[in-house]
Amino acid sequence: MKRVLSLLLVMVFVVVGCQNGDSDVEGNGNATGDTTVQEDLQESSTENGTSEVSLPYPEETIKIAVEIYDPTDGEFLAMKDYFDYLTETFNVEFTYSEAITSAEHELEFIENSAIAGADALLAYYNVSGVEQVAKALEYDMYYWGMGDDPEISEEFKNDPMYLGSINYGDGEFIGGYELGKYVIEEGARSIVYSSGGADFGAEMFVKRRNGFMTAVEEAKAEGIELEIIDVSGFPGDAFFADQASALTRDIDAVCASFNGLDFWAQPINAAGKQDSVLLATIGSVNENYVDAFKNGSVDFLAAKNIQMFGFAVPMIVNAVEGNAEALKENNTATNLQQSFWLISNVEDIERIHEISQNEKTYTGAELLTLVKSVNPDANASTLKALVNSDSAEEIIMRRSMDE
Amino acid sequence: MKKKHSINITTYVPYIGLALTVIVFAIITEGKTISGINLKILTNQIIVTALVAIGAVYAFASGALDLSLSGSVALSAIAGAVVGLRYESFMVMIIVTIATSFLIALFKGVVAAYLKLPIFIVTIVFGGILSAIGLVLLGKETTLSVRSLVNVGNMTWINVIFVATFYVFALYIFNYTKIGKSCKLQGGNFLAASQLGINAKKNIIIAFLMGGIGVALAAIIILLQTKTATATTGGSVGINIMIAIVLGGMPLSGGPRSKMSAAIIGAVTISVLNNGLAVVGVGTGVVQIVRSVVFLVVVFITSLSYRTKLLPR
Repeated sequence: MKRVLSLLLVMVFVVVGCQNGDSDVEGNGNATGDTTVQEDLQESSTENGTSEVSLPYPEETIKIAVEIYDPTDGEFLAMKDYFDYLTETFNVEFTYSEAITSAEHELEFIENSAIAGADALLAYYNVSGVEQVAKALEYDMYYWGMGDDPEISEEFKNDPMYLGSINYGDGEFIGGYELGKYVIEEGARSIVYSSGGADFGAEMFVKRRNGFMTAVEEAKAEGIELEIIDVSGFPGDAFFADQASALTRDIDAVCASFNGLDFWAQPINAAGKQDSVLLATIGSVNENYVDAFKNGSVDFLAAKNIQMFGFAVPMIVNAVEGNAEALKENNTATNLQQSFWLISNVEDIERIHEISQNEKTYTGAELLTLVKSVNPDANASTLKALVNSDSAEEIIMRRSMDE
Repeated sequence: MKKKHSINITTYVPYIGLALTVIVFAIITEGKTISGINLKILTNQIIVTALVAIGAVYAFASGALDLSLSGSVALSAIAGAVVGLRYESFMVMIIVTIATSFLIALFKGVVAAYLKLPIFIVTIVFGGILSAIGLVLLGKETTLSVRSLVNVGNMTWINVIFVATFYVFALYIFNYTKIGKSCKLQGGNFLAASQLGINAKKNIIIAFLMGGIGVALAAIIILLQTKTATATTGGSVGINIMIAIVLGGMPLSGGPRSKMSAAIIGAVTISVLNNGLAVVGVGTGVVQIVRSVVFLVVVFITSLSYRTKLLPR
C-alpha cells in the first residue's frame, strides 16, 4: 500500500512539475493532441481517482514472448535490463527467443511460445513479415512489434489482437536529417557521409541518407555551398580504403549513419584532425559515448531510445484484461514512432545516460498510468503524450522536477 | 550372448531416448507437449529436418558428408520464389524449386564423383557459393513474400503426406534395391565395393540426387509454411540434419550401419527436445547447454557398440 501511495505521489509531483515547465520538445513529432500525459494523470487522480493497485500489477502473471535476433546485441541487452526493471511494477514474465536465424525458426518460436502459454508476442525482430503476425494471431497471442511494414499495418490494423508497433519510418529520416543539420549549422562545408547499407537497399540506411541529403539540399537552397563525400558500406577492406582516402582530404565533418565512435573517431584522431573535424553519428547512449563527449571525439549523437519498447507492456496488460482498444484511436492499432535523442553536449549525455541506467526514460509508474483498469482515463492521447515526452530536453526537465 | 545383448541395447537407444524425451517433457509440462495442438505444431517443426535428413541418408551412407544442405534449401526456395513471382504462378514456383534442387544435387554429385577432393570440404565451399547466389537472386530485397501465390492454411496433412510418402519411397530403395545396398557398401569399404563391381561414380551421383528430392520437398514446405524466401531460409537445416542423424543412431561416416529410420527418429527427437525446452521456458543459454549435453550422451551411448572395433563401420 505504501508503494502505491508513494507511486501516486510521484505521479502527481510529475504532473504539477511538468505543467509548470516550459519544455522545448524535440523528437518524433507525432503529437496529435494538446493533452499531455501529466494533465491526464492529474485529471485521473483528481477527478476519477486512479484505482488502487498492489504491485506488481496485475495479480495474475502475464507471459510475453520476445523475439530477438541476437541475445548478445547491446540494444537488446539494454532493453532486457529495462524489462527486468518493469517487472517491479508489472506482473509480467518475459521469455526471450534464441537468435532467430530464419523465417521457419521464427514461426517455430511463436508456436512454442503459444504452447508455453504466452499471452503476447513482442516482436523485436521480424523475418517473415506478415506471416509473423498471422502466426501469433492464429494462436491467440496478442501482437506488438517493431517496424513500419505497410503490408502488416494494412492487413491487421483493425484486428483486436494486433496492438501496434514502433514505427521507425520518420525516426530514421529525422536521425539522418539531424546529423546533417547539426554539422552544417556548426559551419561544416566539406562533409563525409558514412552511409552504411544504403547502397544495397537496407531500408533503415536509405531513410537515414535521405534525411541527411534533405538537410544538405535545404542548406544549398539557402545558398550554402557544400561538398559531400560518400563512404558507403560497412567496415571491411573497401570501407577502410574509402575512409582513409576521405580523411586525406580537407574535410570539416564526418556524419556516420552507424556507430561513428567505433569506426570513425580513432581514424580521425590518427589523422590528427580531431580538433578540426566534427563527428556526428547515430549510436546508442552508453558509457563509451559519455567518455567520447568528454574527450571531444564525438560532437553530436542521435541515439535511439530503446526504452520505447516499454510501451508494449501496458498495451498487452490492457489487452489481456479485455481493454485492447483502450489505447487505440478509432479501434485502429497504435503505431508509435521511434524518435532519436539528439545530444550535443556532455551534460545532456551524462544526464540521459544516468536516466537510462537508473531513473529510466519512462518509469514503471508512468507506464502504469496507461493501464485502463488502473487509470480509467487512459486513452490514445495519454499514450501519445507520454511517448512524445522522450526528447533529451523533456526527459531532463521531467526528471529535474523529481529532484 | 553378452556381446549380442549389448548390441541390441545400443540399437534401441535412439528409440529409448525419444520415448524418454517425450515422457519427461510430458510430465514436466503437465501434458502440454503431448496435447493435440502441440502434436500438430510438432509436425510443422519436424517436417523440414525429416525431409532433408531422409534424402541425406543416401549421401551420408556412401561416406559423403554433405555440408551444403542449408545453402541448397535456401537457393532452391529463393529461385522458386523469384521465378514464381515473376510469372505470378504457383506451379512455376514449385517446378523451379524442384528443378533447382535437382540441378544443385546433380552438380554436387558430379563434383563428388569425378573430382578427387574431400567431399565435405567441397560441400562447405559449395554451401557458401549457393548462399551467395541466393543473395544475388534476391538483389535489393531482403525478404520475398509469396503470399500472393500460396493459399494454404492448415499444413498438418500436407506435412504428413509429404514425409510419409517420401519415407516409404526412400526406405524401399535404401533397403530393398541395389542402389541403397551399394551406398551402404561403398560407405563401409570403398575398395571392397569397387571390387564387387559397384560403379562408385554412378552411385554417388544417385545418392546426391536422392538428397535433392529431400531438399526440393523441404524447400516447397518452407515456401508453403512461411510464404517467404530469404537469404536465411533453411539456415539451421545443415546442423539439424547432422544432429538428427546422429541422434537417430546412424554414424556420420556412413556404411552398413546406416539406416533410414535414423532420419525420422533423429528429426523427431531434436524437434521434441527443442519444443519441450521452449515450452518449459528454459532460458536461451540453458537451452543450448541442455541440447549439447543430450547430444553428447546419445552419441556416447550409440557409439559404445562400435568404437572399440577396428573397423567401426
